[in-house]
Amino acid sequence: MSLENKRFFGELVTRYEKKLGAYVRRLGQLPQEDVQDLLQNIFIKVYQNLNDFDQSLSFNSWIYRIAHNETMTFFRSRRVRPQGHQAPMTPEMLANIASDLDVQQESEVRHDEELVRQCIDELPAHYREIVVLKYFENKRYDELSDILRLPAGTVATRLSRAKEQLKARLLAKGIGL
Amino acid sequence: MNNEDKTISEKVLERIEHATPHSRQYFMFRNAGVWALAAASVIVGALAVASIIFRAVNAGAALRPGIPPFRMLVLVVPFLWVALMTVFGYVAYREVRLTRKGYTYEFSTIMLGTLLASVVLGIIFYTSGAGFALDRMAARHLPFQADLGQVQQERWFQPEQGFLMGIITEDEQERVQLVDPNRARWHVQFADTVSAKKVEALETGERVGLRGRTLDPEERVFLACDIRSLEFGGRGALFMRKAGDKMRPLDERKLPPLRSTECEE
Repeated sequence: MSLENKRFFGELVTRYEKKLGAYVRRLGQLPQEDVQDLLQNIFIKVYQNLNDFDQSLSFNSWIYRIAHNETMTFFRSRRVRPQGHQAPMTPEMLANIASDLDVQQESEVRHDEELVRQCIDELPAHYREIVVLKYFENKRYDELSDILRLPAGTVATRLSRAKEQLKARLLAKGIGL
Repeated sequence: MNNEDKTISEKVLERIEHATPHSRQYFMFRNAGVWALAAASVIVGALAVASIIFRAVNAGAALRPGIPPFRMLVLVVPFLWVALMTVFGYVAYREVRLTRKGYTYEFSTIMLGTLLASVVLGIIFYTSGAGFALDRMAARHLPFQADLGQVQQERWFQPEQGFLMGIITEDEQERVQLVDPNRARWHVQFADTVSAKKVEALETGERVGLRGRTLDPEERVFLACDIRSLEFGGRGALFMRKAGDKMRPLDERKLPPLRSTECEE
């Protein structure tokens, strides 16, 4: 439909703009203009590749994959390591992390939002991207596999290692387990 | 409207106004290209396997007895092919991963799959003679590839050290002769350590190796204590050597072979 009428594509952009904007910001700290440019590039890439959309995937996973790849390419082109994310954490996100990592008290963690954010930022890029997708974007394992183009086993291993590292970092910063 | 006041949606629509998405055919060709490269990598891997089998099977025919195992390994292992197989195995893995569902498979699954495909195809190539042709060609034109034929000649063509190789024939008097790699004709006499069966199994025109000693260097007479075929296996139908007549067993010859006890070490 998007092919037949570009206006429908505009609706698609409106629908995903916020979500993807937050995702891009979580992947690394970028000035607002860069986020805007990146978002435009992502949607243009989506438009150019509409005929490559694999019906067996969810459109959501597919568009996230493009967003992920474009963002990583962007960071590579700038020769910078993605650092620090700006998008705010919601209480649900913190609760999500707290319960999954067995962090003692969610209320305490909430006070330490900045510390949690720091710990996530300190993770190696490949661990951080999976943590962001899992806890901030609420993606399932099969969606993580489709977005990151990784086998299910690798997703599970990578996520488990990322969680271990995150746990260790939280512990080092005095967040009780 | 100022460009900065426009929404992302408006900016995107503006940018795609004159653009069209890539066609389905474009992606079909791209996908086909990825598969073709993966298939090509498997084929190169299979050629490497064919060459490896060829060398493994023919190592015995190239090397004379008594070579230390490590030197034998260095001479026989086709390092170039092993390296090529590894590189192209990895290329195949990368290409398969680029296909639509390729990323869902583990590294080990894809590598095992491509390796298995290369081995099966490699066995087919070997039996058809491609391994033989490839090894000959590679030995002539590529560096780091020991030529098995040359290795064989270096090891077996040393009459002064008791090793002689060449093409075996019979003359009118049913005497056994051997034409060495320099096209010199040798008269072969057999010691009683050579069984009639061993000679009977040979064909005229076959490349053989003799172990023994030179009786007369001027007249080129060689006493053979042992004889073995040095023909390479795996020539396939394409490179098959024309079958010669069976050699007459020693005990049926009009001129009996010289019996000798000079073969003891």
